Amino acid sequence: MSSRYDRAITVFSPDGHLFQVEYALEAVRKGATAVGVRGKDSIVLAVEKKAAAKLQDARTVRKIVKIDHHITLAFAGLTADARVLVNKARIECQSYRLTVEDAVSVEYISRFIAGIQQKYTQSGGVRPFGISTLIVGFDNDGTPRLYQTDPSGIYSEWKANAIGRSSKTVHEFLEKKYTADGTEDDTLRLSIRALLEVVESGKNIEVAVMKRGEPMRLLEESQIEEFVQQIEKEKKEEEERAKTQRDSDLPTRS
Amino acid sequence: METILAIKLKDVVITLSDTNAGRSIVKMKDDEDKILVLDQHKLLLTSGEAGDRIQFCEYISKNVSLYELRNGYELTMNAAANYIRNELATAVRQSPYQVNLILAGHDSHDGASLYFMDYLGSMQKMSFTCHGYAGYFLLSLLDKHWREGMSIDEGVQLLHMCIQELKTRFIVNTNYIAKSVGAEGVRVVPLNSAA
Repeated sequence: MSSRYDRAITVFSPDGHLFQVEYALEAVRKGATAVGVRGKDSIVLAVEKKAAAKLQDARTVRKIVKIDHHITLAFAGLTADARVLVNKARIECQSYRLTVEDAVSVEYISRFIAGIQQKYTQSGGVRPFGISTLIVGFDNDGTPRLYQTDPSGIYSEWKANAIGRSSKTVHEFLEKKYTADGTEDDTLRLSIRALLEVVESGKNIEVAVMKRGEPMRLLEESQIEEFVQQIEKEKKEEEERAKTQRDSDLPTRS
Repeated sequence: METILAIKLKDVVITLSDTNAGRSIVKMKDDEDKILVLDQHKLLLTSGEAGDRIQFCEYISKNVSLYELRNGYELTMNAAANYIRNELATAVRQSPYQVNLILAGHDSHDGASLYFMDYLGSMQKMSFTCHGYAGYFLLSLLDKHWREGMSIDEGVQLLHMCIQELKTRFIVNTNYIAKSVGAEGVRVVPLNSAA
């Protein structure tokens, strides 16, 4: 029995693709959108809240989770897979603290999670995890960091990123509008605005903000609503400006 | 043998430990803090074998943190005490942790509570307790003066009485550190000013 290895499921195709990994990425693309933006002293994670069934307790469906006191994670894709990875990450954070008496750096824990995701693309009898994650936090020296991992086991640092459904649209928006060293307000506004591009309304958004030395804080619905209204106003003003610009560009009869 | 003691007051547990850290006849440190803050509402006082103390404390502390991160809330006092006791009891028949402990804390379920545990895995919920030679001098004192629902000032007064007794009759001369834990969290109790 023990001499029989489990058959590998993730194998190369003739043209060099790992189809299982690519299918996992497809699963991620079906998941609810998550956006992360890094500011100067704060980092924001905003996720699309799937409309909860009437009989379901919405509070038990959490897409933004605490990994350690200074690290937060949001994911897109298969929730159950995320649960397993998050649990492993939490244990690793405490284990690291026990061994070296220091908190993990954001890079370390991202590398750890990515490492597990990679292992599951090269082991017998298992399939890759169907999630991409956005990992945010502050290092010991106070630097804010945002990392992304995906089912292939890649991880890299980002200034702002989006994963999940319509992530491409959000990504393009972020590329246009991102400015470095944003204040907490700027960062919040940018992430909410980015997410509003692809969600139905502000009621379907959950926002978490991390500041140096403070625990992760979830925004109240009223606070999100405030931002949404500010953004609507901004958008209207931009439209007006664009319109008057267009009108003034028209040739006038002389 | 180090002195650690804890007294349950009204809604608060006040704890005391000596600050001596030494080997044989040498006093290596006289400002050692032996009262570990386990989480926002729990203190763990340990005495015993030097390496085992730190190792066991840190192991418990990280597992308590993990529980809080996994579940979003702290362990109750009863749960934490039983968890710690279980770890001690599992180890005792293989390679015992030579640590004696007092777990003191506050939760919304039981209010202020304190648990006595020893290296064999025994556990008892108590109103006041001590480990080490201090017991020989202080248990009778506490029996006489402890009442249900003492205020924090009365508690600090009682602590000073205990310290005075040890200074008078206990051969080891050392400083002490005191911390209190209640609903609002952990606080260091200043001992220099006489209550």
